[in-house]
Amino acid sequence: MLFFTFDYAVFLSVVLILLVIIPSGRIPLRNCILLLANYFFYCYWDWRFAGLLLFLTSITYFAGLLIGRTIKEKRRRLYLRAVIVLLVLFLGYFKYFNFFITSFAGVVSFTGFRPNVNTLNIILPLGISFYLFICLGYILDVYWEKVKPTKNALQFLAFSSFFPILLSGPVERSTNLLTQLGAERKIKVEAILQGGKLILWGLFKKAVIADNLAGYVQTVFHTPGQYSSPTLMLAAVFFLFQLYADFSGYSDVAIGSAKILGFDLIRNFNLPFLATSFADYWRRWHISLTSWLFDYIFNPLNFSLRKFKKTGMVISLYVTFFISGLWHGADWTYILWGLGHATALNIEVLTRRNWSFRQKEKNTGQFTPGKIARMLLIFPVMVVITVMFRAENVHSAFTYYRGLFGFNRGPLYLGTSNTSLVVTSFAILLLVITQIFQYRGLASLNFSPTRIPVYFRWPGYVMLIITIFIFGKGTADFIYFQF
Amino acid sequence: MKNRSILKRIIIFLFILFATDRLIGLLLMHGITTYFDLNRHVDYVFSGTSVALFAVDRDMLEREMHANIGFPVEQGFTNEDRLVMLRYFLSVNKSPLKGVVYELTPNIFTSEGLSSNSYQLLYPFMDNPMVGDYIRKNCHSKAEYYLRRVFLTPRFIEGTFNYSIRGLLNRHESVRSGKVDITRIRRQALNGSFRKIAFDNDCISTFNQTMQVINKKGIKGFYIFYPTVDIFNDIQKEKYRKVISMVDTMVKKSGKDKLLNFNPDFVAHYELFSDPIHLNNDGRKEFTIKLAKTLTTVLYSGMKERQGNTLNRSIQNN
Repeated sequence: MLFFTFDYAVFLSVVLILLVIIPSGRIPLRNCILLLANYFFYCYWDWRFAGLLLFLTSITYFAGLLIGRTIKEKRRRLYLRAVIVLLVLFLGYFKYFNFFITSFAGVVSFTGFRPNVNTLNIILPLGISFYLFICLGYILDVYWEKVKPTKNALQFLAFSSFFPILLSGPVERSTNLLTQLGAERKIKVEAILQGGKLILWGLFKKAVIADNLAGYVQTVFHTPGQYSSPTLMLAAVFFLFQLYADFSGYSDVAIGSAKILGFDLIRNFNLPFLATSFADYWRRWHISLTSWLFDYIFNPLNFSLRKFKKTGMVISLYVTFFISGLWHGADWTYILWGLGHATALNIEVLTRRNWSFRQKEKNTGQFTPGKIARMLLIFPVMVVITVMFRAENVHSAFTYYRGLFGFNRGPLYLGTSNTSLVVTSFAILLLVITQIFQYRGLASLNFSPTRIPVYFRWPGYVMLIITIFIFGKGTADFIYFQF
Repeated sequence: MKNRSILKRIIIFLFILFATDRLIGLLLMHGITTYFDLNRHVDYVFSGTSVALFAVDRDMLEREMHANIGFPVEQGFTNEDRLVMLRYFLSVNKSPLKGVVYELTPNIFTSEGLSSNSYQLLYPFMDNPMVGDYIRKNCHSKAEYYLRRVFLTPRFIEGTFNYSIRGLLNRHESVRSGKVDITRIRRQALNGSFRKIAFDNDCISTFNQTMQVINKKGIKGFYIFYPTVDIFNDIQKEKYRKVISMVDTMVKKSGKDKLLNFNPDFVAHYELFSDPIHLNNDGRKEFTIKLAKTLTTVLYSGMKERQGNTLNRSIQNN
């Protein structure tokens, strides 16, 4: 059930009506309805892996109870390790088995020995990377006593398979969503309208920007050697916008859907193109995953390596982003992409005093020349690193970089459709202007109040709908579905 | 009280949405009607795909022939789409037509390689019951159909929006620049990576139906083989001959229709093509002049023999 489809609109409406009908005080019944909705949503995609989802989330639930009940630290650690190994093994089998086998064969072949390896025809269960990270986060939170293990199985299962975030996040935390599921919540008309507006904006980003850019980006990235440097630069910039519009569009629809049902999810994006440093970029891009990685991997690792000071931090960043790359996909391009980001961050670590990922710059909403200069420096670096993320393989990525920096001569390829290019360019411009307005606190961001008058906003919403009607494609899957 | 105010806001918003949709939809409708010459007197109407779109300069043809040309031709049309479009054109435009100029290519009897979503190009005309039925039959979901029944703007997709804007700006030319890369085409021919000539019963039946529609209206049909690069045709010689011979038999049966093959005059002039099936700007000019001359000759000079010779020569050459 794609977020764009009429089927999803009907499904969301039915869930909403059911939740409205049931009194807000009857939390178990509401959670039961949500759980059924979650599994209906998942089975609508692929019923074959619903059992796996139920199994892994149930294991996490029982492990949480067990860790919570155990007093001896050694036992608690043993249980924690056992469940982490189990969850990671499942993820490893479905996602990385073939990658490790072929990579191992590749490494061994350097010695002259060519092993005869057989890969398995494994289907990746939808959303496994997301719901397993939610489970891992929960189990670690229970171990570190950040949350008390929930005894309510219904509540936990509804949390770990919550349909708006099931397939591509945001990677929710038990401290946020699980708590909301246990509390009485009222569905408000105002929240439905706010959620609806966010869904509209998300659909615009996905259907008009991302899907219209997809064709051009695919053409250029498929055969990068055939294109001139300006074309490669344009395609790289377009891909960063495509990726952002695609994923943040998905996140907006997910957060908007949850808002309609009365839940507040964590933000996933916060104007990343206005980042003033590499750390700032990662505080704004895929926030739910980045904060997960920093809370559960970087911070513990950095703490254990604290005696090595900056060297420890550098190593921790490399490990964290290696895992981030690997999480994105079983391919060396993703790993190199992750290491590229780690290198950029480490340059900051080594050149700044008292570097901290959490150290935020105060947003005054003003664009000072210094800030603009830093934004203009960060953006092209992100564009260049993201090429690795999109490249079909490492060889293709290096061909791309050779063309990009080797100043390949030739005309600027603008795609096969002028209309598409013009419309997409205007849509990107609208996106950038909106983000500048949001940065300055004029337009609504994350349900904050807006200062734009209604006689500008309403025609704006109408034009967004009409633009989606005419130029929205909505044919391509979300990029993050593959992860 | 608060809920009532929100309800009032939703109703006002929906009203604004609906009114804006109508306004923009009607404007776009006017544009596409103008672009496809549905609202003016025409003497000849074309039926075709991108091949005709890039091969014929409508304005030049009008000047050369001193006649009005209707050009409801769209990139990506299948035979069935063309039949629906032609029937729609004939039902809307009441001009006493002198002829229908029908595009033929070696792949006329196959829909392989064409998009299954090409019916979407006919969305703008779905108010017509015949077109509406065709779209309903092809739609992937009921929601797709009914959304377009309620709103006008979703009836336009990128391609038709483009045509509509061109109609509003009164710009009809569609030009392809560049020259075909013959080395690449030869390589593709060797690899076998090109659209193969095939004979699909549905396509043949649709073609027959189209001929019947034209004949029933008492209009003369001009069936034209547009120029294509010979490399792909040469390796499928037998099939190509069979296509020509099939069309020839069908045309002869009708009595008054004409089959014209422009391939022999263009086949070796690779510099006139932008790709194996589309002419570039130079080719377009040359082809338009030749087409105008031929149509005028056939119509006004009664050059039956000459036309017959052209056909015979083309069959022999191919």
